[in-house]
Amino acid sequence: MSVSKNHRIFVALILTFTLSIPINLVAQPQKTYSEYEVKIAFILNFLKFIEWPHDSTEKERKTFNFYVIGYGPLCEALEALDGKNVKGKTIIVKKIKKIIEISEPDVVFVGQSEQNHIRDIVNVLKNRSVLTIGDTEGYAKNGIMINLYMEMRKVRFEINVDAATKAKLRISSRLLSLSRIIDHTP
Amino acid sequence: MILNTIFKHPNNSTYSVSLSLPLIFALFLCLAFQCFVSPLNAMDKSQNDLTEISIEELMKIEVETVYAASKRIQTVLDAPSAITVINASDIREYGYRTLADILKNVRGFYITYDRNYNYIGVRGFNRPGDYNSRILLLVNGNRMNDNIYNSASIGTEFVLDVDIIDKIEVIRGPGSSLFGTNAFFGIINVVTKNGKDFRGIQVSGETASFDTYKGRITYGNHFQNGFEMLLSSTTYSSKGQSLYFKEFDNPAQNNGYADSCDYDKYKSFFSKFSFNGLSLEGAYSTRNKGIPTGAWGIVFNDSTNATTDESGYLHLKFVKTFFNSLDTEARVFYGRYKYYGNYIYPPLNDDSALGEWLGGEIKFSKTLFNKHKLTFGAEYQDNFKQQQENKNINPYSLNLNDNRSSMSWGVYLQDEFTIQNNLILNVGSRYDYYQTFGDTFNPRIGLIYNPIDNAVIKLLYGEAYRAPSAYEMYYHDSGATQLANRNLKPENIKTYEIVYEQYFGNTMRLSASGFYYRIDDLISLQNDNSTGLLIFQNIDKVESKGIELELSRKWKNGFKGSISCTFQETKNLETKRPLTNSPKNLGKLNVLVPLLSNDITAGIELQYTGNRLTLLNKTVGGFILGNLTIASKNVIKGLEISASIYNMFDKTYSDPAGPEHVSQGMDRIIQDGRSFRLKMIYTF
Repeated sequence: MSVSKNHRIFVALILTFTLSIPINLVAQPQKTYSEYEVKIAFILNFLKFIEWPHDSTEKERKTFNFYVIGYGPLCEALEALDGKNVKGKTIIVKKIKKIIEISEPDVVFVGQSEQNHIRDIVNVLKNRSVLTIGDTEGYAKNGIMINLYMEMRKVRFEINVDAATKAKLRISSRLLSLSRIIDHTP
Repeated sequence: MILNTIFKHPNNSTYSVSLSLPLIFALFLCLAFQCFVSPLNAMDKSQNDLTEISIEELMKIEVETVYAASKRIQTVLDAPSAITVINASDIREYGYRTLADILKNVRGFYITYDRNYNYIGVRGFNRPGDYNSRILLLVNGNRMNDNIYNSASIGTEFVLDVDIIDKIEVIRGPGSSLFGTNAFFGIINVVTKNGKDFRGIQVSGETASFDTYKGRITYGNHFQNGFEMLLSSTTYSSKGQSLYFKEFDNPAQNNGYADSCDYDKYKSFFSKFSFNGLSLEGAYSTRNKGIPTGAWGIVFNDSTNATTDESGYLHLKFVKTFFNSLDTEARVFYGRYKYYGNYIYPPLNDDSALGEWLGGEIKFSKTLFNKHKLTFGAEYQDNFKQQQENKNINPYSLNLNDNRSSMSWGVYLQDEFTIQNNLILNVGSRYDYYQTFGDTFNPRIGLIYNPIDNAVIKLLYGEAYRAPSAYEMYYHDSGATQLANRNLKPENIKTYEIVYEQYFGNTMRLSASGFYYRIDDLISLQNDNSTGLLIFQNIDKVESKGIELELSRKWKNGFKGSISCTFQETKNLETKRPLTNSPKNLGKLNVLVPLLSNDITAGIELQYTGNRLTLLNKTVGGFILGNLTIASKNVIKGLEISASIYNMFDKTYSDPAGPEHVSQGMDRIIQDGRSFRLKMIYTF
């Protein structure tokens, strides 16, 4: 009967697939992650591939100060970086409301809510060696050094090289080669 | 024990089927067990911790999110539903031609085609004469179901060319608590590509069996100032094949052959412009399809029997965050659907409908105390034109000329409450008011729990409704065959579902769900007690229960595959009989094999549909279909070529037919045998 024949094929299909399971179980990071998990992992990588002028001079400082200004979906999630290690220092994530609240900053993450204050923030930090990061369209063009964006469901980033150079930050060529370069001075 | 109840077969005729079910289960359980105990699959934290992997690997990670489950972007794991997402790459690699093709490969879905329209079956439901009104179809969040039949078009009459789809979210279960009517069995949200996905001009040409040709030209760009645009136009024409129907096998009716009657032509246009949170979208399509089946008693083998379906919409949306944390989305939409049927009886009968609607929605999302993600909003729709007409030409008689308008509005609130790190409570409800029947209130509650890393359990309860359509309430043909029923109430569904998802070592994913659905006041076409004419009535009570299992894997070399099985049983609680067109078993297997490199792939699909009852209470046999697509990209820069074989085993099979065919003695519709397609895409 064709019904039971079909069923045998159906069972055979499942068997085939089941038997193929134990082979080649080498893990590849293909689980689905949330956008924010991936973006945070990117940010942690950035910190490894960027050299601050005070990396050598302030060796005794044990904390790495990561400030978050404004609101946005990623701002909440950045708490996950708190306590992680980078360059032998412990990351301290602090949320601030005004840019003048910062002291000894290494990184300032600018939330989506700050779109109208972006120039002010960039101006305040202009002469200091502070890495600025955002995840909002147009931020890199307006002077934020690294800006994350989405393309075809994958996280991408753009680097404003001018802004980073002026802040005396050295970005590794590995990072630059993976990024979209924005050569726009505000 | 639960399984035994679900798969208890009431008679011996299905014994051979039930015998193999435990075997399949056993295999799945073995498999799951094997994965748990295998040391290779131990939850290796370093593999799952993204911060440990290189930036080059990070660049490869795809983020899987879903919008339509909660009216905002969230991860598939957090969403209060069992979800499948189909991406543009799947459409390319498996050679999908229509939305119906895509859904055929989705776990638990089966599609019925009557050589004019495609009908979605899910969770064992595919009601005869229902133009997909129990599924909400969205394009970029905008409702596509029209305001006459509430139909969701998924065949060649769908408003978009599948080539400009970026992804499709299939959300199982009721969604009325956010979306209102039609979100009864599920939601299909189609997300289009954007200008930046093209960055220039792309042309596509394809040719296929039965003298089928399709051409598309698309322009898309994303400019420095942030302005983004996409324009796309498609034209399609298929001569179709000569089809044999044994019901018409006599010399007067061309010995049962319908020649030149299966033609299918469409044109579609899509445009989208966006700038700074503001986007405007417009789409239009018109399709002309011949009717080869002699449905409704029309003259067989007359190629002028045809339907034309025209749909179009405009959708203006504005998204902005106010007061630093209040995400706001405001949108306005206009929709239009026109149907025109040319039926030769003789005399010539013209059946037509025109629906137009205008509406708006405002939605806010806000996070409170870091623990509550609130979504609330209001929606209004003015159906300012709901027109149905039926007339005979020569001699002229007007059988129906029904002009209506109606309005409805709804308000909704949803809270996603993070009770603790691994436990989310998702509660929502929506109140709707309809000018036609009054009001309805539909809640949904979901508990989403991560007992261990990489596993999630979802306990879901939901209620949904479907408002009676203008067609069901007002269509009649002056006493010839069908009566109107203005007293129809909405039909209601209550659903219970448990979903379990588990990842193994990042490469393998197991999804399992068990569900129980119960529908009251189901609107069905009945024979009126006093006149014997057809009439829609809130009469049936039905239930469906079942289990869906899916396992998918990706290998390091680009090889990937998934397999799913569905075991389900439906029952009309009045007659104690199973529903028609309701297969107890469904199975899908798809495998993508890289050939030479990841740029050349072979996509293989096998789809099994079990036995189904027809309206004449006979059985349409189960079948396995196989499709194969070889796709290549960038072998020559900018050029994509693919070749497909559909139904590669040339399996002869049929789908159960609707009442308009059964009245002609035809309870099943023959489907296509083996066919081919060759396709090229060039991006400048």
